[in-house]
Amino acid sequence: MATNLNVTELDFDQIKKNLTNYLKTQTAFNSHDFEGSGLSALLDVLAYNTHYNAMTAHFALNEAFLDSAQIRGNIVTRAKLLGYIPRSVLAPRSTINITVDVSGEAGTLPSTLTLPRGTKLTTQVDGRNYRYVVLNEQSAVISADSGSFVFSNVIIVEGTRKKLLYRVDNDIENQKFQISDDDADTSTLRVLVQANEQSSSYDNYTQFESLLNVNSASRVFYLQENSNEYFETYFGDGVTGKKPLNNNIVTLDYIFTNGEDSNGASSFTMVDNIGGYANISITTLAKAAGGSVKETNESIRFNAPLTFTSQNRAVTSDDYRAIIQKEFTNINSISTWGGEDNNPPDYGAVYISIKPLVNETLTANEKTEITNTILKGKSVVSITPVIVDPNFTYLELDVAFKYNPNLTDRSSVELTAVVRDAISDYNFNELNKFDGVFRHSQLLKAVDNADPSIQNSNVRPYMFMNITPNKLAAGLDNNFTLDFTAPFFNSGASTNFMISSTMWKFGGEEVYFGDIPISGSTDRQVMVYKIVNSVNVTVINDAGLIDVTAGTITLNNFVSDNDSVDIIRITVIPDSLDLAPKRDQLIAIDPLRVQITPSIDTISVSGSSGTIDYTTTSRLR
Amino acid sequence: MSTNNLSDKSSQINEPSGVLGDLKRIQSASRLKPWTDLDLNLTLHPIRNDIIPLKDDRAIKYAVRNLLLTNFYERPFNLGLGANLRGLLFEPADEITKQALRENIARTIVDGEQRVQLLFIDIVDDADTNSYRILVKFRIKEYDSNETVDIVLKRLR
Repeated sequence: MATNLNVTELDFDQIKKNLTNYLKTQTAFNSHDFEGSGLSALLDVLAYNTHYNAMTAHFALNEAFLDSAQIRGNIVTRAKLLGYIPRSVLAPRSTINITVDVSGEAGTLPSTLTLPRGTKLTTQVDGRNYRYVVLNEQSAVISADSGSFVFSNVIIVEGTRKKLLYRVDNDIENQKFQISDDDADTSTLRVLVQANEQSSSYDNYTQFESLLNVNSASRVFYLQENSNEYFETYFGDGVTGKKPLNNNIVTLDYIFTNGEDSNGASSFTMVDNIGGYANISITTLAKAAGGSVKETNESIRFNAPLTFTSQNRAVTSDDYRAIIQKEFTNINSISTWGGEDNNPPDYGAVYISIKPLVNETLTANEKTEITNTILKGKSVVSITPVIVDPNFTYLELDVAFKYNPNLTDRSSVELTAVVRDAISDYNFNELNKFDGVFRHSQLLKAVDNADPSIQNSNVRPYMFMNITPNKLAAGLDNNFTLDFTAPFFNSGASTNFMISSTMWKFGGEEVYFGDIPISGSTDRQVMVYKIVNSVNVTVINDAGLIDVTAGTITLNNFVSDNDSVDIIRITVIPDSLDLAPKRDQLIAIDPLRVQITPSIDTISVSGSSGTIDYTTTSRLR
Repeated sequence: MSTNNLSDKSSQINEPSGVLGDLKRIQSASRLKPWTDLDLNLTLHPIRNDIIPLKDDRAIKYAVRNLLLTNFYERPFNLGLGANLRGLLFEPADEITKQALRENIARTIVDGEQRVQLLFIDIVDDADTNSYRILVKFRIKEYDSNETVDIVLKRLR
C-alpha cells in the first residue's frame, strides 16, 4: 500500500493507480475501485490532468534541447543559437562552355554578347526532362577567327528561376521576407532592393557572414529557416546592417529545384536563344553534381555543434572538415590533415582530400570553389589549403568457402552469387571512405553469414593500383609513385617477385614488372622482364624502387610502345590481412576482381568418413 | 450496519479444553462493509458546510446510475466504459434499439459493478414524449436489499 504519492509516472493508468493506492490509506471514501463511483470519475479527471501536464512538460523540455527536439522548427531554432543556418535544397550544378556561332548571320554583329542569368537549357536523366538555368550573367567578345562568341566555364543549375517582390513596411516590427518555395536553393539567392517600383537602380545585398566590418551602411541580409520550414530573409536594424526604407521594394531572385534527381546529367541543349542567336553548341566540362535534399534534422543535430566549435574559422584540421561539409555537398567522404602529418611534411599547409558523390575525384572548378569561395576568409593567414585527389588502393580478393549442400536449397552458383553480394555490401557499407578500414575478420563473418550452409571461409586480399603511362609518341617519360595503404608481404625468398603486373609492351616485346633484391637493404629494385620459353629474361634492370616497409613503389623513366595497353595493373600482397587507410588513401574492393571458389565441406556432409577427401585452401596463391 | 454474534454457535462446539484454548472466548464477527463515495452533485451539508458523502446502499445505487449514464468515449483512456444510453437515443424507436439498450445495461452492470446482481430491466418506449423510460432493478449483494434505478432518456432540447 502506497503511503506516498509517486510522482515519476507519465502514463495515465499508472497515475490513476497511484492516486487509488494513495486513497486506500484513508477511510473517508472507499469506492474508488468501482468505475461507476463518483470518486473514480474524479480520479479520472485528476489523472488526466496530471498526465496532460506531465506530457506537456516532457515535450517542452525535450524540445528545448538540440539533441532531443523532434519538431524541425525547434531544431532549427536551437541550431540558430549556435549560429548555424541549415542547408536548403541544393540544385545540381554543371559547368559548360557555350559557343554561339554567328558566322552565318547577316547584318551588323554585336562585338559583345551577354548570357543572362536564368537562360534556360534542358537535359534528360532516366527518361525525364530537367530544366537547367544559367546561374550568373556572363559576357563574351566575338572571336574574329571563328565568328563566334564563347562563354567559358558557365555554371548552370537545375531548376526554375523565380522572383518574389515585397514592399518594405517598417511599421511591421521585424518584417521578414519569406521565400515561399520549400524547394528553393538559397545558394542561388540574390537579394536586391530598389527605392520604389519605378526605380531602375538596385542595391545588391549580400548574405551576412560575420560582424566584422558590418556597420549601419552595410548592405547585408540575414537568412534563416522559419517555423513553417520556409527560408526567410530580413535586414539590419540600421546599426548592424542597413535598414531599407519604407516602400522600398525587395526582390528575392532564386532558383527552385528538384534537388538530387538530375545529378549526373551531362548532355545539355539550349531552350532559349542568346541575344537572338540560336546556332549554339554546348560542351560539358563537368557533369551535374551536388544536388541534394534539404538538410535533415539529424544532419543539423550533427553539424550545428561542429560548426559552432569551428566558430566559422578554419584553424584545426577538423574545422576545415566542418566548414567544407557545411557548405559543399558533393562529398561522399572527406579527410583533412595538417601539413606536419603529411608525407613528406609540408609545414604551412593543410591537406584536404574529398571523395565526391559523383565520380572519383573533384573537378578543377569544384576545388577552386572550395579554396577560393568556401575557405577564403576563414582560414588562418599563412596556412594554405591544398586539395589532393583521393588515392585509391584497390583490393583483389580470392575467396574460398566450404558449404554443406544438405543445409541449403541453393546451388553452388547461387551461393557464389550470395557471397558476391555480401562482399559487395561490405565494400559499399564499410569501405570507400577515408575511415573505411578493411577488417579481414569482419569480411569473413559477412561471408560466413551469407548463407546458413556456409561452414567456413578464407579470403586472400591483394592490393593493386592501375597506372596509365605515357606512350612513346607522347615523347614524355613516365614517373609514378604508388603509395599503397600497407607494407608489402615479404615471403623471405629473395628470388620470388614481390610485385606482379599485367602485360605491357616495350621495344616491341611483351614485358612485365618484377623486382629483385638490393644487397644490404630491405628495399627492392623494380625491373622489367619478358618471358622466353618460360624463363624470365631481364629487359630493364633498374625501373624503380620498392620500399617494402612503407608500401610504396616508385617507377622511373619507362616508356611503353604506342600499341601497348593503356592501363597497367600492379599487384602486391599486403603484409597484414587488415588494411587501414591513411590521409588521402581509400580502400575499395574491385568487384570484377573477386574470385570466389565454393567447395563442398565433405566432413560436414559425411562426418569422419569425409576427412579423406577434405581439402584446405593455401594462404598464398 | 449490523453484526452477527456467533458466540452461541461456538458455545455448542465441544472441544477438549487445552487443545484450542478456551473456545468460549473466541468470537467471530462478520460485519457489512461500509461503502462511502463522493456525491458528484457536491451537495453541501447545511450546518457543517461540508459535502455530504454517499454511504452504503446509496453509494452503490449512485454508482450504478453513474455507470449507466456514462457514454462511450466520455472517460479518458477508457473509451468503452458506460452503457452509452444517450448514444442510442437517436436510433429508430424499435425493438432492435430496445434490445441494444437492454444488452448495454446488462453488460455494463455485470462488468462494471460487482457489488450488485442485476434482477431485471424494463424499458418503456414513450413515443409521445420521444423518450424511453428505463427501470433497472438490482440486488445489492452486501446488504441483500433490492434497489431500483429509474432513468428517463430524453433529448435535452
